[in-house]
Order: sequence, then C-alpha cells, then structure tokens
Amino acid sequence: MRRLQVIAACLLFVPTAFGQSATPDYSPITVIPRALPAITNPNVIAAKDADITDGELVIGVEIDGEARAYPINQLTGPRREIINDTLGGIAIAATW
Amino acid sequence: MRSLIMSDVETNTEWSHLLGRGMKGKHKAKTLEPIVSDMLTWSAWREQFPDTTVLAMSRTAEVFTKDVFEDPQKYVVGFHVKGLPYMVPMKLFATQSILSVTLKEQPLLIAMDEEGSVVRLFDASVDHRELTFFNDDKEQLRDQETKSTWDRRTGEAIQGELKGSKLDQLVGIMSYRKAWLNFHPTSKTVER
Repeated sequence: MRRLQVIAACLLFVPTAFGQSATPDYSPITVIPRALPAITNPNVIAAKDADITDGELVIGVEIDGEARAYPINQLTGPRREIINDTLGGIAIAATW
Repeated sequence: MRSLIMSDVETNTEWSHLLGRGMKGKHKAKTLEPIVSDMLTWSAWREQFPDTTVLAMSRTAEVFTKDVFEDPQKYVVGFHVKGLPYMVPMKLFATQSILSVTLKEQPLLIAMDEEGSVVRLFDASVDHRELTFFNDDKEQLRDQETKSTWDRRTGEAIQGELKGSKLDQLVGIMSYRKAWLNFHPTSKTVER
C-alpha cells in the first residue's frame, strides 16, 4: 500500500500514535450505500488563474517548497471530502 | 457527533476521519501521519505563498469564508503533546494574540497573525534553547531570553540575536470544539 498521509483542517483529524486519548466506540452508520469513487490526480492551477474571492477559506499546505491551497468551498459534500494528491513528492490526502 | 469514515482503495481498511486511525480492516489501529497545514483565507495564503497552486474543481458550497469565525466560541485549535490531547479556545485570541506555554516539557508558541487570519502552533525552541515569548509595548513579538523580534505569522526572527532563525511549525487543527472534545474526551484546555 502506498504511503498515505493526511492534511488536517477544520473538523479533521488526529495525529499519529498519540493514542492515549480514549478511542470512541466504533459504530458507523451507513449514509451512502456505496463507497464513492476516489478522487486522484486532481486538476490544479496557478494562483493568478484562480476564481476565488479573498475571504474564502482554504486549507494551505507547503511541502519542500511547494505550496498548494484547497478551497473548502470545493471540498464540501460527500463526493469531495477526500482529495488524493501529491505535493513535494509526497502522497497526501486533503480531507474535510 | 459523528464524522466521515474513509476507506483506502488498496485494503478497504476503514479509517476515522477525525482520528486518522484505522478502525476496521488490515490497518486497524494504525494512524496516518498528519501534516502541518493551515486553515486561513485565500488572500492570506496567497500573500505568504504567491507561487502557490490551487485545486481547480467546481464549487460545492459558498459558505466557507472568514465569516464562519464570527462566533469564536465554537472553535478550538487542537493538538497533541507527547500523546496527550490539548485544545486552545479560539475565543482566547479575541483578547490576546499569543500564548507562550510549556506542556509536558514542550515549549510552545501559539500565535495569531496581525490580520487575525490564521493561528499557528510552533515549537518554541531554537537549537534546543527554549524561548518564552511576549508582546512588547508596540505589540511586537519578542522572546524574553534574547529580546529578538519575531514574525507572528511565519515564526521567523526578523531582528536581534536570533535573526534568521525560524521556529518549527507543529500540527494544530482548527476544529469545532464539540467535535474535538467528542473524539478527544480527555483533552485539556490551555488558556491564560
């Protein structure tokens, strides 16, 4: 399995083996009956070409000198909440 | 409060979104490595990283702007130190711009930038030298040990003995308070 990493953001996640915090019971409920297709190799553009207003929120990440923004208004909804991407040579998953 | 379950294509392991932890399947109990990132306005990100690229998909919402922080009571910055969960209430930054604190022998600087566009968590040490930060009477960020002046947004020393040094940014997660507490019920609140 390829190395997976996760980008943190609002509502998101938790660090590694930090596990001294109690783990909630795992009792998932099914909201969507089938797994949604993975989003891979997403299209990205230069900042100057982006149609985003100044006040919109983004998840920003910089790895090894390469910076990328993930507008939260593009990540909202079950079909968009996980973006598999590569940045700075590292496989990442931007999640919301 | 519930949260998204993710699965990986390779093994179908089910992962908790909020915990980043495998909950069922081959990778159960393993944890994904979090990456330092920020949640901030597009203008603030672009200003710091003018050469940034940006995801280009259609909008699925319009509501996520800086206005969501109008009620800071709802939000915390969550993080871990030596395995233990902590949270800093965002309402704290209505009255102060920094928090300099040591938790489990880890010196930390939690700072909001001048524009109020982002809160970042830093390791408050340089070359194993622990630093304690304060705002001077001109609201400039300084460390007590050398009186160097620092940029609150980037964690870089811009004047003084430590000029050119940079604090390491740590993983801090902007989260709804309820969500953080639900998934980290033993989380301690850090405030002053």
